[in-house]
Amino acid sequence: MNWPRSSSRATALALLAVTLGGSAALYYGSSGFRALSTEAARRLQVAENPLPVPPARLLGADGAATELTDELALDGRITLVTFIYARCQSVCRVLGTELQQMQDQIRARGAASRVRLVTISFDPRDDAQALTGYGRMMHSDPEVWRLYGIEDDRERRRLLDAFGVVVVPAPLGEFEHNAAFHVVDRNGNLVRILDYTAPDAALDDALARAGDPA
Amino acid sequence: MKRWSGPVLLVLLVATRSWLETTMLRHMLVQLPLLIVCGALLRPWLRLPASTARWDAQGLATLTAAAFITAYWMIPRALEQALVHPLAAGMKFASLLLLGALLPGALRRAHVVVQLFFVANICAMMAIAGMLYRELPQRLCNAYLLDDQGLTGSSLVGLALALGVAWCIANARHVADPADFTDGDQATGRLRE
Repeated sequence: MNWPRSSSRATALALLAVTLGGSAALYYGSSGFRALSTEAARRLQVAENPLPVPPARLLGADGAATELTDELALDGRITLVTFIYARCQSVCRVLGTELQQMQDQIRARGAASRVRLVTISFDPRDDAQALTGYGRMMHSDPEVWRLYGIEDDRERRRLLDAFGVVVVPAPLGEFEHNAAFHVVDRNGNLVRILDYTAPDAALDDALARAGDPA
Repeated sequence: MKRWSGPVLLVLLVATRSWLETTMLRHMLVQLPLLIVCGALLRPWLRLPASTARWDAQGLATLTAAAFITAYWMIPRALEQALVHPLAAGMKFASLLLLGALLPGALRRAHVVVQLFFVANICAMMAIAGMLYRELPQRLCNAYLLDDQGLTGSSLVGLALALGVAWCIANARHVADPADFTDGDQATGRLRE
């Protein structure tokens, strides 16, 4: 193994540069070694920097149109926003059942004046009729849990992008999507994202923000 | 003819980019390795300066960079950023092409023991990442399906094993003939990709 002295110094410098550059890249790529998946990074970012919800025209299950920002800002309650599509047979079925139980919990705790649920469909096929059907199936009480669709493609895209919700078409006409509970505060800012498998934590977080003891 | 294989492959990779990137398996196990191969084939056009060797004794700098670059593009978030951010996509192409261009020279300079260290390191890392991709119940990339992720994981484990075995076969003679062990120049191996 011949290893000339001049070359070894140059190589040591190159090695140092590569190691520093590589470590910096890994640090950046993993949000400071805290998140390996896009979803984890999204949740981290929202927790650190609350995100204003963009405007979008919502179509209610009752057929009436409302502006999302108004809907959030005028309501005065902490909102748990979820995204679904009505035909879903997998993740949002689980989510639907959880939302149903959360609705019962909110009513049982007498918190319906401080916390509520909003579910938005990202499926363009979900019109007022489909939403009404879904609401009936889930026994949603409009006072606590409202269902909406978005008619305008661009507005839907923008809202999903802002929330960081990615919808991928899957086999059998299904969609795969990153399901979660999105906590939106009284000012219409997205402040926290909690996993769809943790409905109790999501409800506790919303109640805490509403000033309820957990 | 051979001179044109690099540019042709590069054009193909750019043209099929969106198709290759629609599934995680094609993205990680077809596009990324082919970019490294493409970098190696582009060497006649890149004309890396001869002084590269001075900065890269025993291929140490390049092989270290190889470990970092392969680790980086196995981070699910990094892979997904390359889908949506043009800058990340550019960095992906640039880093892997450059790695491919530097790797053959680095392997030629690296002693078999140095090669063993890095090959073992990279293969172990790839196999562990593959096992994680396979076993995790949640999706790591929002853009890819869970089944795709499992398949990618299995393939990463497979690639790690294949690379390790290929390196062993290419360097078997060093073990068979200990006298050959000291000959750093011969330890080229056939692990060009």
